[in-house]
Amino acid sequence: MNIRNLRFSRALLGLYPASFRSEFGTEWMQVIEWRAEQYSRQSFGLLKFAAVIARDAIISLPIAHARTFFGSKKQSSQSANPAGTTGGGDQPPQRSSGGRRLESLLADIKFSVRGLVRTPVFTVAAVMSLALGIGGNTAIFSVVNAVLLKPLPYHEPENLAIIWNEFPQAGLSRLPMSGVEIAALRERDDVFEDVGGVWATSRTVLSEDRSSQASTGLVTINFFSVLGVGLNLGSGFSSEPQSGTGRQVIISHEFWSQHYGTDPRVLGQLLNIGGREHQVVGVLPAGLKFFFPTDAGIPERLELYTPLPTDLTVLPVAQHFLRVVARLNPGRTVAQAQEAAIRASEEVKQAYTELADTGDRFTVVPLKADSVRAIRPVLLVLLAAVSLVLLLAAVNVASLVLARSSTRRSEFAVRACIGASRKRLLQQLLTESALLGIIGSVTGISLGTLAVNTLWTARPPGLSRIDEIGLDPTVLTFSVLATLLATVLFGLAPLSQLRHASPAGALRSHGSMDRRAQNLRRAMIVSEIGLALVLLIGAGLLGKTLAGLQQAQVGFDPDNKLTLKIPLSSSRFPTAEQKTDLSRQISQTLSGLPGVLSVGASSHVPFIGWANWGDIAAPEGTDEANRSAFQFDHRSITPGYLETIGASLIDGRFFSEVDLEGTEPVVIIDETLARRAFGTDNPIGKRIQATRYAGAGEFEPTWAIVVGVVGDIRDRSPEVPSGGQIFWPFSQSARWELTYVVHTAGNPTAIVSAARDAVQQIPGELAPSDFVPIRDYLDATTAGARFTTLLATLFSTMALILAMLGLYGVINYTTTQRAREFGLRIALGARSVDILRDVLGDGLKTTAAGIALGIGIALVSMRFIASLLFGVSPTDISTFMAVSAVFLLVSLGASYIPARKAIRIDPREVLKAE
Amino acid sequence: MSYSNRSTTKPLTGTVFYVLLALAETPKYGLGIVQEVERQTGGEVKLGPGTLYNIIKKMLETGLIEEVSAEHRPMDDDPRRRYYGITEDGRFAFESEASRLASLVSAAKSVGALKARP
Repeated sequence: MNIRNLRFSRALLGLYPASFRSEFGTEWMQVIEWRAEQYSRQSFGLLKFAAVIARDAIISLPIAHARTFFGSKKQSSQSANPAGTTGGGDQPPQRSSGGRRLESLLADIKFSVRGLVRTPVFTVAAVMSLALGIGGNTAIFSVVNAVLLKPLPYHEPENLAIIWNEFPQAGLSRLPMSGVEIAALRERDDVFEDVGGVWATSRTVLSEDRSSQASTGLVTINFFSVLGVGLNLGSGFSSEPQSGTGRQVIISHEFWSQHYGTDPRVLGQLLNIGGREHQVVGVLPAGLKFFFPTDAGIPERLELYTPLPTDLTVLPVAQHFLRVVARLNPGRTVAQAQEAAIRASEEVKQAYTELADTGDRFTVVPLKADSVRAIRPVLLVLLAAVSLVLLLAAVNVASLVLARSSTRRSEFAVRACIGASRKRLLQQLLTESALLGIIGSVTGISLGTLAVNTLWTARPPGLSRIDEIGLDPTVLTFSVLATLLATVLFGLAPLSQLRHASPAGALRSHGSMDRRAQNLRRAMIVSEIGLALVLLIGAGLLGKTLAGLQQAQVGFDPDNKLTLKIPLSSSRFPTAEQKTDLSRQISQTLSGLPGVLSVGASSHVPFIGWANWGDIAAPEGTDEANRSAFQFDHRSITPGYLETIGASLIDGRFFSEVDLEGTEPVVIIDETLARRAFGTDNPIGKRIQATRYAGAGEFEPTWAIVVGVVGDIRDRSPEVPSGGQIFWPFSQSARWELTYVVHTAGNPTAIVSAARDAVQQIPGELAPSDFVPIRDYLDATTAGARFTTLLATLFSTMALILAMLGLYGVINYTTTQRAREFGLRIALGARSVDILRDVLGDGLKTTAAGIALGIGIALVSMRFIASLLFGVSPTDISTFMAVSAVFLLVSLGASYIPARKAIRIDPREVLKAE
Repeated sequence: MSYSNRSTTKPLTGTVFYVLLALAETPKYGLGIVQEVERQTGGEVKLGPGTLYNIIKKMLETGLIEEVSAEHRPMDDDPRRRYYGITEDGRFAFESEASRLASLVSAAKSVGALKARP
């Protein structure tokens, strides 16, 4: 900024009232120009100029505005009285009570501003405390409001529920449902208005010149009406059974605009999905999002929707794959829905004996509560944390104001002695507190806005509704009022001290704090340190959790692995043999690239977060009734896949090129499945009946021999153990899509373009996509933990700063009070190191008390965040010790500044003052 | 507030006193007052423009100063400048304050408070 560039000054002038600007604006600018000229010749002129102008503005702006405000009131009351004179004559104008109030208010404002400017340490500390409290609180409250409190954007969202399947005997919960189960739920129409289901996958869309992948929902035909979402265009699925060319598809608004340029003639056009023509029968509204919990495997947005059969009972009874949403009749409760769901599950078990006696039951959960279940505990913990910060801020301001007011006891005593009324003193104190509160609030609002923007930028992907964060005015008002109240209440402390002590006593005390106030203040600081310690311990535990998650043993090596999706079009490669040949050709091509160590592919690669393939895999000898207890994750893999990702072989062998279609079906299972299905027996060579993909959209139960056991591979999240996995050779279960994993010697992204080119050279118009290192997918699963840790660190740092500001304030105050004592001791020959030890010891003692308190609170309270921790105990001793050490060190720093002041006391000055 | 009732003159604030001091000899415009105050206080007191014009407004209202007519202006002056001169009430308040300060100083001297420092 150039000192002679007066744009800033003009902007400053704009802050004055219009009447002031019109009356004095030109002259005001003349003075500014002259001052600028004066300072431009000095070193650091710009800084000095800015400081002088800012100080002037801080003092004069409130007065100018108050004068305008009250002046206009005064004028209007005078104009109502035509006999009123305006002065200048013999008759002096009578001052109205409004005018007197204005005078005293102006004087108070001026006095307060000067007081704040004169004590910059107090002002900065108090304003910072208020700003941190208001800003942090507002930011987190805004997140909570966006994620937990705002209703879902559907019609009557409170009536929507998600229904899960529980298999308690198998220890499995939150599983999807089968078609017959949805049909049974629909029968309970006294409670359920309607019940729908969805399953997400990806399908190949073929156009004349290319094929591409589109995320696709397989939905019950009533799915959108259950949610209360109308179509933007078209009439939707017909309820007539579909066959042959009568297949239908509803497309998303985004797919419509991307592929059809929002042309309304899209209705009736044909779209080739997975080799079959589908007629477009509807377009959904723009921005439609789903809010399923992350473990449902339904992404927020899908591009295409194809319908399930109208009669859901034709679907395989044991194929649990549909995520179920129900709309309750108005007035029905979740408890009633739960009862109805249990009755429905009993009916299903009676009707389908193969599902009997497995202990299956349905659980009804409100959709909104379920959609935020992953982030809810995190936000509640953060809310608790930020409330503590708000409390700390209020305590800090209270403590600062209390200390300041104690030093002003004599001032108030003098004013009381010379006739100032209590009302007058009260007004003065209120003005001071309010002014401080206003400055703190404005700073806090700015900080809150900044924090919300930062949170929005750092928001983790995949957490439901997290992108709706915004600064909430209600929350802001609450925070501002809460802290203002604290400021004003404690600002009145000197008045109560005046009541308790005689003015004479106050005068004699030289403005020192009485013992009661001192004790109160020290107790405040001890509790502040305690609370801040609790927050920092929490942040430490979350940090350890994050580190644990990032280094968690996931059962394979995620580094230097590039993944790429390749759809295998069923129209071009209809048979399993053709698909297997193609998969082998792709593997060979990718293996030939420079820097590639090995290549393998799977229908489901860990952490990719795509819809799961869960189905029954029951060992030989299982009763029909117990089969559904053996629900496991199915994967279809090429030879070399398990070796490429670095899975560990526990027993038997990996797949090889000899495992082909037509040869004996073989499977590899993981340790969890082996333990659950075969107990302590060696599973190698045993038979297991599992579902494999038989082509043309059909899955068939097949007996297979277990040829290998691998260590568990975690594939949902690093902290979620495997639920049991079974691996088919791709040649024997050739699904429509493979994700290749390429193990590279160096940076995996370096081979992206070479891999794309190489795959596109293969005949078959392949469309490889999603070139992402597996490490990135893994990191995305810890994004939530990173976000939590970031916030916790932020808040605990704020708390630490607040507590240390408080400690500094106390030690500084005590040191000032003991200046005479220190002066005398120095005069009598005390060494600097003794004084230093004395002051630092005082700080350390206070901190130690705070640490003891904090550890006590943390031991009790940390178990509330146990559900957020992974690999670390809520009472982890090393975290407790490290955080305590940090507090001791920082408190040494906070006490050192006043300690230095103490050893520099000049005994002569002290004695002269006496 | 008015200073017309001369028997009840109150002590003046520092800034008001400085402005009256600056206007004691001749009427001046805003910047002139700022410069005069700085000259008389050896640069100790630097009036900010916001503070100055708040004070001027208040002093105009209370009749301590007044805006003066064209005949008091220098010939070649910027016509936009507004000149302020001290009123009779202002002069009375200024002189009362000066004598009050003088008596304070002499009282301080009588107890040896203003001895030259070694």
